[in-house]
Amino acid sequence: MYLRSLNNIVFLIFFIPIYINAQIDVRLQADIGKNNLSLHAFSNAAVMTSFYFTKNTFSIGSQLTISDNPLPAFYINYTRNIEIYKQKFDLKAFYTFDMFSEKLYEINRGLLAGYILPHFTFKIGTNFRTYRIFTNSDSTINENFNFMYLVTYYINSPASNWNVGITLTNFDFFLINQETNPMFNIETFYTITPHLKVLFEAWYISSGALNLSVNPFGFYFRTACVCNINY
Amino acid sequence: MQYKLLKLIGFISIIGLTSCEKIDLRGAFFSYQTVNERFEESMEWNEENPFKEIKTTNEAYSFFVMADSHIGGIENFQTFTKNAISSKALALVMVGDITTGRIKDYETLSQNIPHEDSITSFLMVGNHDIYFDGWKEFYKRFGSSTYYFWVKTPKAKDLFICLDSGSGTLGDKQLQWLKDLLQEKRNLYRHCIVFTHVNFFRTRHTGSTNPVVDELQTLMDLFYTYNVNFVIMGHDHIKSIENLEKTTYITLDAILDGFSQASYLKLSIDDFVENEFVNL
Repeated sequence: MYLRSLNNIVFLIFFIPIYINAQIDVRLQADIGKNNLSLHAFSNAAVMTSFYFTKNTFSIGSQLTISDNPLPAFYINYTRNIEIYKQKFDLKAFYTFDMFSEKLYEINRGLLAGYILPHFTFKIGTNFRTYRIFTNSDSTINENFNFMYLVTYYINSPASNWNVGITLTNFDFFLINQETNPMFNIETFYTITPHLKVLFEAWYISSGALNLSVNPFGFYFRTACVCNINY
Repeated sequence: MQYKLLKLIGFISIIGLTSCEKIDLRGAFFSYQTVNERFEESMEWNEENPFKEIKTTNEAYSFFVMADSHIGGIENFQTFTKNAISSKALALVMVGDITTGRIKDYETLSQNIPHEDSITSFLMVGNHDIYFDGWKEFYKRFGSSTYYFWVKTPKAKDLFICLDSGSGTLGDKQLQWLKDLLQEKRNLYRHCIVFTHVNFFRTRHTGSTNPVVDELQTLMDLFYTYNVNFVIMGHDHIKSIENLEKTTYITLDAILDGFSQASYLKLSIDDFVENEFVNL
């Protein structure tokens, strides 16, 4: 049911850019990894679409867990690029929905500000998390003003057709960890043509580091390709 | 200049990584044991020491529960145990960070823990208990940190599960053990209460951390699916209560000496489970 609704939305949205001369990026990605939640590996697949129109970006993404009982997550966000004294910033408002079980789900909404330099990307923001049950229940659990952060260092400048980046962050596309649970990743990408880029990322998550009793939690590898369409 | 900078960084690192009185900075980078290693030792101990059944002739009974005594200081801990014995509580439960991890503090705990004939005590580790390689001391003196026990009254049986979350995660083996236990046994019991040290939800900003969100989601779903009535935690030092329909998540105050908000929890169990914080 969720997939059909999402497919309808994506189908409709693709026609809008024709009328406003937007650029579109479509990102397909697949994750495979292992963590403490299961004795076996896990995998996810996601599709994400971004529409760029002047200084505005509208994005929507959907992810499915690859299992006997696939569970969806999706996000929707709006980003505005701004320039202050020739410095590039962006401001994003986001909403994520994660159906992590048949009975429970999590929603997040928040704001994220980014500062982009040739070799560094910095992001800080905050999110408001709610855990809920699908049945008609008023009981929710809320966590407010969770701090979000990201610091990435790229070895090459943006003009290069390949790059390697190292990131410390507490969020990913469909996951926002608590401020005290950072994740690390190494990403590489290669621009094959101006319209096609391929990426590979390796993520590592530990638990308990800020409790001074660290333990590995998990890791995953991600492959992705980004296709750019100009109307 | 670069060499001087490197020397300074090295000096600060040595100072930082050298154990100070209360915290073991090494634990931010390297653990003495992983949670899976501790779990396997706990399972070995469980095989030689069967899970406990506590029988009572009363329909109603009570447990006294505390967390974060951080012995060292012993005054509040002694008040807690004395109150439990005088109130004829059925058992004590200590939900982690009972000590600072140091041998002398484990010795103090061993000297002050009530004898089994006075009252039964159930302990589990928190992050502080495994500082300074403290797991070896805990295991030597108290055994397993992953186990369950049950209380049998004339008309009902209630299940109590103790988990090791000292490393901020249950680990894949302990989580599988918990899933199997709830699947096989939950429906045999009236109430089910889980005790685990590291609290789940961030109701306030603090430097200490919680299990990662993916793990929380798995545990919340597990507890909802199997009607776990209460999840009782410590770690945050400030009490809070969250409800997700059938499951109530209680974070305890710390009971450590000198803490202005020190309290423990009295669980009164009958057909319903009532909880009452008792201030010290």
